[in-house]
Amino acid sequence: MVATTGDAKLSSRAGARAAPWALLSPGALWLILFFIVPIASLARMSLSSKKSRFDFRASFTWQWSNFSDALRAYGGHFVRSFAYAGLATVFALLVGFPLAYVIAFRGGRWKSVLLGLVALPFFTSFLLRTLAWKTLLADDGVLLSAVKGVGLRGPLQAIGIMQDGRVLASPTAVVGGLTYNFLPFMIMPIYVALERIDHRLMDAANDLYANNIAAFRRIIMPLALPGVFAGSLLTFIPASGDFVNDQFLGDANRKMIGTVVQERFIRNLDYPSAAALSFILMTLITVAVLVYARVLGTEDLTG
Amino acid sequence: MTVLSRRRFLTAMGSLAGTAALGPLSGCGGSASNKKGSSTTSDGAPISPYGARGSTVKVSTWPVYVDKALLPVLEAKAGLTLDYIEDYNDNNEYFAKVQPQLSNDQSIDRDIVVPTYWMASRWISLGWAQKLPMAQIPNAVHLRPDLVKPSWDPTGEYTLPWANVGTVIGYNRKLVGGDLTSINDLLDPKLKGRITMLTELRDTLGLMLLASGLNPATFTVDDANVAFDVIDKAKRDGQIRAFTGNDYLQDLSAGNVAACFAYSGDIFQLAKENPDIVLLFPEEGAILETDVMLVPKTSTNASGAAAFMDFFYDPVNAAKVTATTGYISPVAGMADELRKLGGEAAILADSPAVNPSPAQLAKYATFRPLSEDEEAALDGRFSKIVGA
Amino acid sequence: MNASTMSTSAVAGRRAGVRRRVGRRVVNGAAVFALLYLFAPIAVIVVFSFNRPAGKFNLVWQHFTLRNWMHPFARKELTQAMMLSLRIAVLAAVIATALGTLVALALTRYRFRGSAAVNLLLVLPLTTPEIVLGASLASLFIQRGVKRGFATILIAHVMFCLSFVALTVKARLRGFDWTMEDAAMDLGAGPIRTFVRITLPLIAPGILAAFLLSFAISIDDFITTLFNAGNRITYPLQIFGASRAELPPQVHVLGTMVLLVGVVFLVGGALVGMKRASRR
Repeated sequence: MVATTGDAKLSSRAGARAAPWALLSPGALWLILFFIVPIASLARMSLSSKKSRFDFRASFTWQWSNFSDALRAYGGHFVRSFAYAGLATVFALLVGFPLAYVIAFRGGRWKSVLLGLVALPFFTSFLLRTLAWKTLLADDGVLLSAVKGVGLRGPLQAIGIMQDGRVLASPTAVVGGLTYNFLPFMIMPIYVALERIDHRLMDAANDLYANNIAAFRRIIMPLALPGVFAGSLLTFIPASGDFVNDQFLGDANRKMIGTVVQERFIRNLDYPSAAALSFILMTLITVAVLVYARVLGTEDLTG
Repeated sequence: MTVLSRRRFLTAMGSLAGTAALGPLSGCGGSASNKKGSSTTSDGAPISPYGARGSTVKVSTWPVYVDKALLPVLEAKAGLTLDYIEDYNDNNEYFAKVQPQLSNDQSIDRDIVVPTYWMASRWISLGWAQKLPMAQIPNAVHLRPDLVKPSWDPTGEYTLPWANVGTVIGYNRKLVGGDLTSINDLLDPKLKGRITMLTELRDTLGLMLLASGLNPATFTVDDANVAFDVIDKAKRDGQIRAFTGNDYLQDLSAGNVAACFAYSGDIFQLAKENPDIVLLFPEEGAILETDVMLVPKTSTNASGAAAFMDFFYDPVNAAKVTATTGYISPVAGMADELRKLGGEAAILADSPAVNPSPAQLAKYATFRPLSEDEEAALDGRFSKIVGA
Repeated sequence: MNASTMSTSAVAGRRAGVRRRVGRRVVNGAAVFALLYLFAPIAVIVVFSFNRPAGKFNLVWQHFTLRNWMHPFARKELTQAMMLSLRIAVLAAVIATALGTLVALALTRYRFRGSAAVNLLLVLPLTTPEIVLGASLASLFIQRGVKRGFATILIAHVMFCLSFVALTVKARLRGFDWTMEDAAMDLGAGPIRTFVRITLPLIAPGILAAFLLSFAISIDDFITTLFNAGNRITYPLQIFGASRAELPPQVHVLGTMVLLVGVVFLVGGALVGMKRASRR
């Protein structure tokens, strides 16, 4: 590969035109073979039907009813998943922004340590962390005993955070888990965006507005926006398709779409409907991303 | 050394040839390796023949289903390496996992799989099981008489039961605040959000049929819908916290769940650790299932599988397994060995949950066989309830 | 009149100061809360590695013990799964880093028609939920009769790591001074020599970061792996299985060990960073 770069350099213009493709081709080919082709295969599967329940082969029959059936049966699951993912994104922003802000502007020499701390959860297993939440939130666990001890059960119950005296097996636990698991993905891009802001700009803003809130709104927010955008995508997309938090922390009445896809695919051998559901999920996410980009006015997705 | 390895090579070739003969359609393909096996054990030695020695036996089975201390004993005795993998968590899931491979005659890297009886019957009808080399499993004579030539394997050539499992109720006396007696007790509003049911259709539907006074052995589709309605309502009311596989154990032992549909041995084991946990045989009855060992058609080590089966059909070893797992053993004469073990194990010999008399065993209901269409209909309704 | 305005503005100024200080406290407090939130479950994992569970599930605190740490590899199946995950993660990270770096080099070094499409191709896997990635690959493998196992896990991991690598290295390469390469070649260095001696050292930190990122993503991947693992059991799959029937404390011990490796990286990195900062 390297040699090709050099050859291109030395030889003709045609060679120079081939050089980037020579560098690209192995990686691009991998992505085409194992991302694009599978998605195409999924599309085909979503329009196929199976002859027998126990047969895994599906034949392509333009089975559009897979989509209408899937939407009819699981439309509510899509709404719920996007609501959960949206809430988790908002909470992650609320929790993550101050931390990113403090690291970027007040981190000083501790900056790299603090950043490392944010990344540290990735060194423990995703599943294990989610299970740990189960321990923390257990019906008779530390956290709930404390909450009940100080008499917070009533108020928390009233605002719907607790149900029947518990948090586990409720939307609270699932949204909390989703927020938690994707929080670092929110913090990192915001930090990167904030880091680029010139400190003198802050000082000038403070002089001009003599008020941190105004300075924040006029200066920091606009500059942090690309980070917020990237962080929101990195939180929302995986959260909307997740099934681990749902399965460990959720209840029987409020399943997320990820759980349905996984069950259809891994247990029920219903590949066509799993494929149709996956496709709808992918499409809805793409639409959501485009709308969000329009609202935030961010044109450049790739950065 | 050279002789031994040459012989091992030849046997390996032999069993390979045996598998090659197993076309997807030839139901009797197993007999080739079968004859081969029996010729090597012409002396009728209790230990399996050379074919198994030095080989690796890969077993896919349910978690916490054996006395692990026995595994090295088996390895030493049979001279083989055991790959004991507890990755069988759910019948449908496992089926979905191996189906593409087995349909394409690709190896699934397993020599023994332990499906539940109804799933085993599907494996057999799809031609996915080898006939067992019975000549290499002399201990199979200890098979309990009522399990000889069972409904799922009418000729008795493909499977050997690993254990009977009772689908019963487990509860935490402290969390329930008293004792339960019936399946319907789980629907008491005071247990709202603190009970779980199972994702296996036959377990949950079976128990709920019993709860409605219907018979799982003879029910009609209308009967099933009555029971489904009860389940669906309980779920919508928030009575049922979750539908679970084996994972109900996690919530029961962590104290999140007060009562649940459960497998007898699991609760037996948990009760040993936590005195508040109670195993209940509900007054409406309970479901009896059988998990069976079979050799997938792609296995090239049926002899090794036979050595494994033979070992656990030795009543002494069966007694040890029973003492650890608390499941009902398919091995006759196991109870005497339990008594010989003394102590807690001896008490188990008189426990109806672990060593039921034929009369006690008859109190369990068995779920009737389903046609493919029936299964599709029931599964469709059930997975809709579970998956929402 | 004059004095009174003065005093009001002074009061306003003091009030603003108080508000600013309170605001500062609030923001700092929120940041501390975020850190506590991030670390609460991790603390549970570490603490429970010292627990002696009453039964099969290490989920309820019982007694302190060092026994788990004395026998961290007591569970053969856990250790085997960890070894498989390590093998896959190293291989996936190596392949993805190599391929991804080349893509990044092509995209930053050259202007060419089609680069926008390649950029899009890189971003798409990241904006696709993992469950779709997993299901689509599995559906391809199933339809083509490809046996799922080690190779298919590796293929999947390389696929999603590749995008991360390419984008990370690309970000690093932005602003890279390519005239250095030209200068080296003008001085008579061959293309390979130029790349190895000039380009590689300059982009090495970015490549290393991408490698570590790939490794971390691969070793902890659950969803895509679940669909494409066949009969192989990686560490996350093992934990998933274990969580259903038996969760021995060794799970927490191995988890804590990996965490310690992370801490070592972190402390090392921070020390280097601080030294550099003080030298400046």
